[in-house]
Amino acid sequence: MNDVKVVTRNSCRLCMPLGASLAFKGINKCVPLLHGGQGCATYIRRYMIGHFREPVDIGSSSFSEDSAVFGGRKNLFISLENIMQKYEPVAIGVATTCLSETIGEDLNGYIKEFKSLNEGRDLPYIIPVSTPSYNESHTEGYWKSVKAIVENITENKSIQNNKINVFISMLSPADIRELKRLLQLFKIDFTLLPDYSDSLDGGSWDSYCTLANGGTHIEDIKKCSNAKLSLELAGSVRDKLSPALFLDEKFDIEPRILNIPIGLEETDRFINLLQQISGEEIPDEIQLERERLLDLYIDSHKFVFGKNIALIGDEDSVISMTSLFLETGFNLSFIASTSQSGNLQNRIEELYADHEFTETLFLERGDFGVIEEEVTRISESNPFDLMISSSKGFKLSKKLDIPLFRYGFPIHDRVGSAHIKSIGYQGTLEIFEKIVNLILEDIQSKNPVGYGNY
Amino acid sequence: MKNIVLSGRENQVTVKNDSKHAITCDTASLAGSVSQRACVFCGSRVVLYPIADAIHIVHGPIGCAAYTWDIRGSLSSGPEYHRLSFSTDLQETDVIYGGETKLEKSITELVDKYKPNALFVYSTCIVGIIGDDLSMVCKKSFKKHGIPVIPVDSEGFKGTKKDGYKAACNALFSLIGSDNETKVPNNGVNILGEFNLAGEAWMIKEYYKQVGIPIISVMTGDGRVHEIQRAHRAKLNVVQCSGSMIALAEKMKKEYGIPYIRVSYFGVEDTSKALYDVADFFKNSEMQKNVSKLLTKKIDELTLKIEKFRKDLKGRKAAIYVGGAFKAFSLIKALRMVEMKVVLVGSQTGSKEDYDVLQDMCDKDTVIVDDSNPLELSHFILEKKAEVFIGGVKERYMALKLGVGFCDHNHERKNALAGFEGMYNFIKELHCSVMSPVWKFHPARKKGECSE
Repeated sequence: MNDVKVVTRNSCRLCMPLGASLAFKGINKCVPLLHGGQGCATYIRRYMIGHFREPVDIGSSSFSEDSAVFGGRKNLFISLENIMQKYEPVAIGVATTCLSETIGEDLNGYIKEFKSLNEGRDLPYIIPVSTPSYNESHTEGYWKSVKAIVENITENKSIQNNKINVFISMLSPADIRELKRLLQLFKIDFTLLPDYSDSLDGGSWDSYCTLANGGTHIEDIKKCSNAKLSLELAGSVRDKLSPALFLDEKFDIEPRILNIPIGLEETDRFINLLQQISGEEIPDEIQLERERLLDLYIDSHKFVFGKNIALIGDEDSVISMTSLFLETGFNLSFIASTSQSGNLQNRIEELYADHEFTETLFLERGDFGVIEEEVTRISESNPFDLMISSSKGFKLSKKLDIPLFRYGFPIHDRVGSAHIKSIGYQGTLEIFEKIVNLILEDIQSKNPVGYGNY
Repeated sequence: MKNIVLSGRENQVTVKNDSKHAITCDTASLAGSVSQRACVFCGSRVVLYPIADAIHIVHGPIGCAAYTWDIRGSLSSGPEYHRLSFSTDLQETDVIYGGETKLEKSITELVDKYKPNALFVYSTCIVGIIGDDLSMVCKKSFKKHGIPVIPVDSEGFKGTKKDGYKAACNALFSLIGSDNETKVPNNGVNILGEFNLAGEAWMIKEYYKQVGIPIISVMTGDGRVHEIQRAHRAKLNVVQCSGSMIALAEKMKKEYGIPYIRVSYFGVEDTSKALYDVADFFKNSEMQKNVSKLLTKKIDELTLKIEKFRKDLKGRKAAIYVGGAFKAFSLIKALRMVEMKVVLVGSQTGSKEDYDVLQDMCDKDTVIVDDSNPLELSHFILEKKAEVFIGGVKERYMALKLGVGFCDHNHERKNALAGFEGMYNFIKELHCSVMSPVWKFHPARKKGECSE
């Protein structure tokens, strides 16, 4: 029997501290610090650097054997001092790792002690979060950290203002910029967290830039409690990890949790909400973008109808991509998520109740070993035309001889991963035409006389 | 002005001048320094993973295996198990109740499915802490499956990357010696510290073939379990990347009386020496003649091919930051061949002896660093007006941001840089980095900082 049930092969999920590091990079002048072995920080840096093609500095408390026995307090204090000295950050986000969690480190206690030992000094904000890699995935590490930022920094309510909080899933820097553009077009005043669109997608330097200028300002996060509403763009509702629900519970701020606006329908929902919040008419610019997107859908409808997709990615984006593919006429025989929430199938079936998913295999808690086996098995009776995944899906797409649309994390074998725009009408248009063109290219290159289908 | 060098690191950064300094090295990274080094597991993985017909399974939570899945350029002429990533993916319940049973089951599944010739089981940070006995599970699995199941003591925090190398050498050593039957050539050598990145081992094996020197095993590029098992029957160990595998060479000398020499295959000077040294060891005039013939041909070819790059590269400044210091020596020599100047050189894991040699080799005013970090490296490359940086992926974008060209010379490279063909690729890559027209738009370059 060659069935593999226990060992994980070619993991499609990454670990919690990576999500934490990403979230902390979204705060203005914040350095992420991983409390544990040095390997964690170096490998996570390498992964993020490979994807974003930007320098990424993440500190480590560099546990030694002594730390594992006597605790990491000393190393943590040294690392905080050194980061303060070299980077002069406004904030340091401290995430635990499996090592520090397993030995039972009291991170909150250490931080309290560090602060009291340094009273009178101008210390950065130190934000702790518990992110052991033996639990869940990078997505949960990310959301946990966003919530921790809000929990630790947001001050008590004073006077309600006209701002909204916007909490986002792991979008690309281009998507973050697009989101801000849409909000600004509706003249909405907002605090968006985390905003790593500058720190992870910057320009050239004439001297070493330790900390980028952009990012969500601490002063704005402090005032999240005064907002009139919290908009959260996620796919799954993660009660315990949701910053919007936290603010609702603590400060009575209305939460509106939406799927990431990819696709016409999801974007309609999003734009209608912005319209409600702002009281503004939908700007012509956006209206025209919608019209161009619909025009593209119609121009392309015959090229995509019934084409079968294998979709693999982080849960939040998979949920919205499903919407995009269903509304344009694709089939989805295989949908896999990198999380282990147990929610994927339920959530998708609930959201797209009009659609029958009897022919779809949903996979969570999978890895690329299982993904390869299942997709190959399905393709024997129901061949795939296209695969959507991170770069890690390339080998499978090559084996099946189908095109791969690279989406998600990591994309390290192409340039421009930070510039993939997918949200809103404009973003949807951009990825949709790339996807359709992949299909047309595939048909054309396999055609003996080079005739495509255009 | 902020201090570039953190207190605690003062003796790990020095400038070559007339007197020699002792440089502090071979020590744990300073917490919070954002070192470019990883951990013990990283060191072990780097040495062992290229063994392509063995299964490498990481016992721990998912991160270690996930971040190291197929990130190397190590090629295989046959099975490619090394390009797969296996983990016991420990969850919270395993941390509480122990992961030994899961490991045992995982090993059985992998043996049944892939039928490898051996398994290497890597321990990660929490394994010791939760009390899993890897040795016991490995012994049990060996009895059950009849193939070597080798534990690797690679808990991330138990030292530095160098300790990972040692753990890997210990693991390899336990494989060596079990095959005394298979016929092997009489004057065979092992090549240690060669990982067949971009096919470099094949290139090197071909050189030795033309000279008439048989190779018993390469550790571990295009590695095979059976070849390692008979490595003790070689007459000489030829050790490249001595940082990572000198420990194994020492052990083999002690146990099997096999002498070793240190070589490098980077650059013309060192590649030539690597071939001559082996021929000289065997005191074989036929071999020595063959070396001479091969070198004449290769060097003539190369000199002709790089002529067009020479004038553009002459006088340009380079910075080097690599893993092992031995490579830095070769790079300095290689750069001298095209009359480039080295203004900064450093390594993650150099030893005291390595830094002594570096200080001798370098020009005056060259900055020498150990276990450096982005702030130090970027400061020095700007100060010294380097035009190209030779390093690894974590240094790449830092250099590019600052308007400094980049040449990837680390274990993830997919471009062959060893031997004569590799030297051509290296010079070509340096040339395209330095000569790209994009630099004229860069703000740091615009300030008039580059040399013409």
